[in-house]
Amino acid sequence: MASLRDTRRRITSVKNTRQITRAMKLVAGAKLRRATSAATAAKPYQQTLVRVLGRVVGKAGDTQHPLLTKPDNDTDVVIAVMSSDRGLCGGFNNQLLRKVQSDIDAMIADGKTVRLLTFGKKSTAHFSKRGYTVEASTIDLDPSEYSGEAQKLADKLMVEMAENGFERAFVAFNDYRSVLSQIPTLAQVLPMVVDEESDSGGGDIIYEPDGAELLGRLLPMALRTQLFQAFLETQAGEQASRMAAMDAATRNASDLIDDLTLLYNRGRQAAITTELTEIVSGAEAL
Amino acid sequence: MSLHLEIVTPSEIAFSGECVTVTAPGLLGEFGVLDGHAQTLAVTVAGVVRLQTASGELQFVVGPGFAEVGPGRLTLLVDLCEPGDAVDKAAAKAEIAAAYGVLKVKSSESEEGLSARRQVDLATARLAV
Repeated sequence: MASLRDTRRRITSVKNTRQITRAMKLVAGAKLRRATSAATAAKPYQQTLVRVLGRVVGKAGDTQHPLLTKPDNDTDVVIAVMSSDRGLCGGFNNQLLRKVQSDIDAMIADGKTVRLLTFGKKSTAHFSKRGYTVEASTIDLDPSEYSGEAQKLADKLMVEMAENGFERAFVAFNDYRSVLSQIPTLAQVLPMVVDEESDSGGGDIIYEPDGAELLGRLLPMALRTQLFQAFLETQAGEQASRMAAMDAATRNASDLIDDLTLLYNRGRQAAITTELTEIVSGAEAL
Repeated sequence: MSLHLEIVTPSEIAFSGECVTVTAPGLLGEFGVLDGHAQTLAVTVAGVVRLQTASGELQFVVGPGFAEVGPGRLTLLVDLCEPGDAVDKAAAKAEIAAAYGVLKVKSSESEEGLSARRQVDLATARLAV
């Protein structure tokens, strides 16, 4: 059995851990608030864009746009994987990476060449350790850089698509639904998938400019917005996940401290009892 | 009669309020919107948005985007929006010079070229306030 002093030492150590996990939980909570408000602030823009785009594509009929049609390439697939830089956030990265990996394996079995663009240290490490080709990795992104990074990624993908660099491009991220639920998602970004809206009967609308030119302006905006949204969801999901994980860790630490304190007190009582018995039996022997 | 204007960017709703007229930088040239304008969907480029409100005139520098005119309202969806009185003209000039430097060595269709072209457009808009 551990000595009293060992138990006391363990209690102190668990208490320290609890203090750290509690602090991390508070920090994640504050960051989560910021991240969700950023994600909420981005919603009106995205929703209007999707609505307008649907209407324009519906109206344009069979107008073809390069960003909507499959490039002349049947083998390459690009996947942008968005994970966090740091761990201690529960299953956040694992659930995403596991899904992406199985999807990649399916694609490879299908004869495709998968090229990965990773965002965040966790996905970079995961895939390069397992022998997948990581073409480019971006780490340590600050939320203030998301917009610029989304633009850069959108430009890169559009330039490559114009050169038939890939068949399809995907973005893999954790879709933030609520604090308790983030759903690993693999969404196709190019060629773009647009939900066409049939004429809603809103009367005559003047389009300026018309058709293909208008699409040519709207589609890149929509692509960038979709990527930007993925960054925001990843950030919100990471913080939510970390908050939940740290909350559980804090609770476990408290339970452990209770158990250890009980053990410590019982041990101390046993020591006192032994000592008393010794004194009493010593006195009797005289 | 007034027109309800909203300027929406990916990070916030930059302006929301009533105006008398709004002038926006359209792809095919500047256009003005008054209440009762026909429903329109117009692409806008980087430039200056001018609004006449009951309390005076306001200016915003906006990035590229589009304008949606509906009954009694105008929504501008733009990359970015900053108030006209907060513009740093010296910085804008420096940005133009830097972007032209990039364009001299890079194709304007490359990733760097695309972002340099955007930078020029935006900085030019800042100078126009």
